[in-house]
Amino acid sequence: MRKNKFFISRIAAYKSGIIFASIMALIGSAAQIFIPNQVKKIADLVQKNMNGDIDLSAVVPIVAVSVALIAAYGLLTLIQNLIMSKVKGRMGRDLRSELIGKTDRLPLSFMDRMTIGDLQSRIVNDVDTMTGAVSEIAVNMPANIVKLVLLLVLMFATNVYMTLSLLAATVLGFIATAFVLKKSRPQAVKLQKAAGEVNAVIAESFSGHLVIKAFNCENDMTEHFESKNEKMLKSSRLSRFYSGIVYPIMSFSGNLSYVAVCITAAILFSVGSSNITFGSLAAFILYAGFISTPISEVFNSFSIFQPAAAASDRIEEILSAEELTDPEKPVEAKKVEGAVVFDHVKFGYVPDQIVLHDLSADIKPGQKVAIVGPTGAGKSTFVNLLMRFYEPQGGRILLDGVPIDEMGREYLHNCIGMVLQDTWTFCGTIRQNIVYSTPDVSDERLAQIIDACGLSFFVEALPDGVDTVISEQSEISAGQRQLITIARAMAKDAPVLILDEATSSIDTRTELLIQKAIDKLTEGRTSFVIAHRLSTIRNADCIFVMKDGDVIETGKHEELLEKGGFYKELYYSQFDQEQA
Amino acid sequence: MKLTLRFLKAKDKISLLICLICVTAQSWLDLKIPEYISAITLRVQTNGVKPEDLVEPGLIMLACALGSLLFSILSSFFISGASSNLTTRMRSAVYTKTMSFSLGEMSRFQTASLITRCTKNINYIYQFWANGALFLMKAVVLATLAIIKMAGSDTAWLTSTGAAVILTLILMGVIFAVTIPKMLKLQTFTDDENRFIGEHLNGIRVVHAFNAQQYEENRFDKTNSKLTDISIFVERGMSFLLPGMITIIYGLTIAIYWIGAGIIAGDPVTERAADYANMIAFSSYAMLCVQAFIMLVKGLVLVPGLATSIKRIREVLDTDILIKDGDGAESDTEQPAAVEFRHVSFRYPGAAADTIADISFTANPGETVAFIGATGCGKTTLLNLIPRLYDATEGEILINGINVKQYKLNDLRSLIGYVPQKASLFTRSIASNIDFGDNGGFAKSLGEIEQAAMIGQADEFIRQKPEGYDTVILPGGNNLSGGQKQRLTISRAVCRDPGIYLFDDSFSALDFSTDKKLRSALRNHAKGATILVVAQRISTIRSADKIIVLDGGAVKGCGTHEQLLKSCPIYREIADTQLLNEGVSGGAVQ
Repeated sequence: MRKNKFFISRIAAYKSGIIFASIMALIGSAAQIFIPNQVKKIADLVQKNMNGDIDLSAVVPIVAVSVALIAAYGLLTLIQNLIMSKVKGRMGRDLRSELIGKTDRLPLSFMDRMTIGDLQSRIVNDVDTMTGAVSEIAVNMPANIVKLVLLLVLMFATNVYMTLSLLAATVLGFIATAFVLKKSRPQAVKLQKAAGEVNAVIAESFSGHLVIKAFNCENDMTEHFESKNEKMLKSSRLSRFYSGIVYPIMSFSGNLSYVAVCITAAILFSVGSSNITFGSLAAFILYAGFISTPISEVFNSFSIFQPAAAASDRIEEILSAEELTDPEKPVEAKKVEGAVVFDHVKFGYVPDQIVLHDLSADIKPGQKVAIVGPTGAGKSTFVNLLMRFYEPQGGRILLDGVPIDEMGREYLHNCIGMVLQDTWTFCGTIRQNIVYSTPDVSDERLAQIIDACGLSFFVEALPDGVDTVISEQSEISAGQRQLITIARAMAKDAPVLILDEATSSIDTRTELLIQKAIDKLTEGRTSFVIAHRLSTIRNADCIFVMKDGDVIETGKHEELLEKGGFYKELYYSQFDQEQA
Repeated sequence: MKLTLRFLKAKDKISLLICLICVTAQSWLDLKIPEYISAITLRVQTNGVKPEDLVEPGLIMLACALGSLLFSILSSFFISGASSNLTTRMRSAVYTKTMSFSLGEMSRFQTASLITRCTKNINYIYQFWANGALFLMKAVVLATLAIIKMAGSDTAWLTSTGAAVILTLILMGVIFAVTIPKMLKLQTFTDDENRFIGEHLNGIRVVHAFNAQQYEENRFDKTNSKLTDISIFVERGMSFLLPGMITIIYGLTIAIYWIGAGIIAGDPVTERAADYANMIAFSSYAMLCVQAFIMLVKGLVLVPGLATSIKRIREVLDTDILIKDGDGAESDTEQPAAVEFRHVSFRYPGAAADTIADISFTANPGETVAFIGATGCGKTTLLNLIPRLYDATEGEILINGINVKQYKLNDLRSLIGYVPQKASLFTRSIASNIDFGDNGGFAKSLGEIEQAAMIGQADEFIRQKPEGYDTVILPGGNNLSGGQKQRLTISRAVCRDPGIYLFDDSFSALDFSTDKKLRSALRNHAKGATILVVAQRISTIRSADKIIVLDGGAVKGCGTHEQLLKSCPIYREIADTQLLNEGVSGGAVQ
């Protein structure tokens, strides 16, 4: 029951609203139950005096009570719904906020183990499932159980035989419905799967349209599509058929209850039973109309509970995961100059697959370090460790003499500006994307930055300038996005700078334009530059040549070329002519 | 409606007709049941009734209920067939039409929108026909029959029933009028929220690097609160629906009995039993009538969405395709093939200026011609004109001396191995991704596929995969790196063994040594082929026979690397950023 504890604690957090709503629901249900009784009273009154004078004034108070009951039912149910709407909305909002906040505090190694789709589905779908179940489980189920019990008591009190026959008919109806549902569910799952396949083919065909055309693959793809579409047709027919007969079966079971009630009543009348009245028949016709609702809703609540518990489980798994820790007494460097030392660092993303074996490096303040090497050599890992995105398994990394794991993370990140390999922009204005979380960036400073990054032409052409919203659909190129991320690092203005493939999506002419900006940005700062283009690297103070997780050569460009090692090989591989 | 009819075959029209008949029969039987309730009530009032007198109406009631069930099942059967057939055919038509689009139509509609049209919009039409249509049919038939049954009854009863129906319509009308516009907004806000979450999770490293946790949380709070407020609003609006409807139904029941008591009180004693039975029957009819109107509104609410969906589908189906098949002038399709541009200009439909203007050049078999220039200079557009993904606005493009417009599209494209900028692969095995499409030949042998992969420098990483060439590529190529995807798309083009290769910036994700190896393997393999390359890196193209420098859609220089270094300032500028100083000034590397 551990998993339900989280769920229950969540419900408890909104207890005042939920308890109030539950009380409303209980009173409302009780009021609803007594409405048929009023109908019975009117019918009995009429029937008793069938052969004499009917006292219509006696009907008035019954009607008055009925109106009061109906109004009470309607209003209380409405109030309960209104309260629960708010509770559900708040609960969902709070859970989503907590989850988003939590993702910021989780180690990246934890995030790497989850796919983004999975995390997203927990934040979106699981939260919905869980909050959707709250009113069912906390409010409706108790109210329905009370309703059912009251109804049974009233029914038995009115007439035992009719109650039994009505129950028998209802149960029979439920068995039939359950049978059909059991048949229809696998069909629905099949249809969902078939539809998923069709949609996947459609998405793939339309987004790969250009290639399909260029390779004369239309016929092949269309055949593929038609076979999936045909499969979906069969599933859809069956599934629709089965789901289509659930309602008729339910309504048949409703009709069956009427028949059962009427026949029983008729038999009771004909044998001259003493406690059968027309009023009872009228009341039972109404009972028959709503006995099935609470029963099916209680069952429904049970079926909702299982997935909701699973969803709450998945949410809790995230919320209870261990967060990043900061040292209790964080140390700060006396003065941030940007001296970085890697001292025998050993690291693997997965413990038994070591990426960096024994990496040592000593970077002086203000040095411009270029990291080069083939794909998979560990270049990004190098800077990821400096950012403390991951913790090394051995060795230490020091910033200005202080081991970075003794610093506060916030402090460390304040010291380092970074342009990441994946260009990341979000749906917001250009200003928001550049200024981001850096406080107090003046308009002049922003204009300077935009100008330095070669973005001014682009920004001026936009309808709202820097306040233009950029989104997925915006006509903005990968290069422009990358320039925005460079501008973001510029705005942050930190003593140490990391550029991880910062210009890979920028065409060469634009790169030429912003190279000056980058040079200016790296001036007087310790900087780490990872790049494919060796031209970017040429004027570094020191080049780290990495291969298979180790720095195998270090030195200036000319020194390394003279040395004639791996760097030289790498360098000349960009030309067709092999060097002697 | 016309569109829907187009996709309904005679068989389906008959199905729908049968369905309507079944619904009518079912509603008629549903309304019979109250009649027998009232008959039983009447019989028990007469003194000395025996149980067996009641068996007959009881059994008839049961038969009615069973009959109603049977007809419901039948109507479900027929509507399932008709609605599924209808939408399967529609989906197929939209798919086939879209596949016949050229790039121009694709970009006019946008891929995402076309996917939505072919999936969600068609699904909406399905939902309407499978559920909504049956709802509407039932509602109309049931309401009509119930009204017929009730006709001639007591005016007060009828008035109160009419009032209940009107109240129900007002209630539902107001609720839907208030909530439906908000529901559309709710959808947008949900999309925003999902987008935010996706963005946030993708950018988690940036969040850490910029200490932006608090910033992001504040940003999320805004989106989140907006979504929460509107969803509470919508849910609250809908909260009125059920209690409101049930209140009306109960109120109507009480009203009928109250009025009924008055009628019976005023009756002569002999007619009282009959009116009592009428009262019970009438209250059942009234309930069914109100329910029918509820169903009617629920069905009608779906109609505006249906109209939108149909409109969006019609837009696709009614689109004229600009690029038509040529007459199939029998050219000498023997490879290799020369490519010639004669004063070619191109302008996107509706654009103010030409994307490329007055381009002329010739690429002969065995030659490599490269294009270089800044983003947006028209390089990709130029390549797209050759396989007629677009048609040139002016001028002509010739392959082996014949205008590309004269070829059958299939023949034309069979000549070409195209490697697009964006590496799109398909969810199937690596082998069938490499042996992709039809170039008039037979499916390739595994040996040929492997050879193509070797030339594309993909063989090595493919073999490292546990399932090798049978590895199935995940949607979006998620089990491959950017460079690996690019190598596969190159292998795919090589596998066709075409006379003309088109590379659209296809080497950017490769490191320099792979890039170099690939180019020399390709040249070795396809000695006589015409190769057209768009590239960013000087190193990729410096050995080309001819380099064309594009700027603003026009040719700004044409020649070999060495010639251009001397004659073309733009080229020199580009080269300067990329090559060593000594490489540029010396005119050659060391």
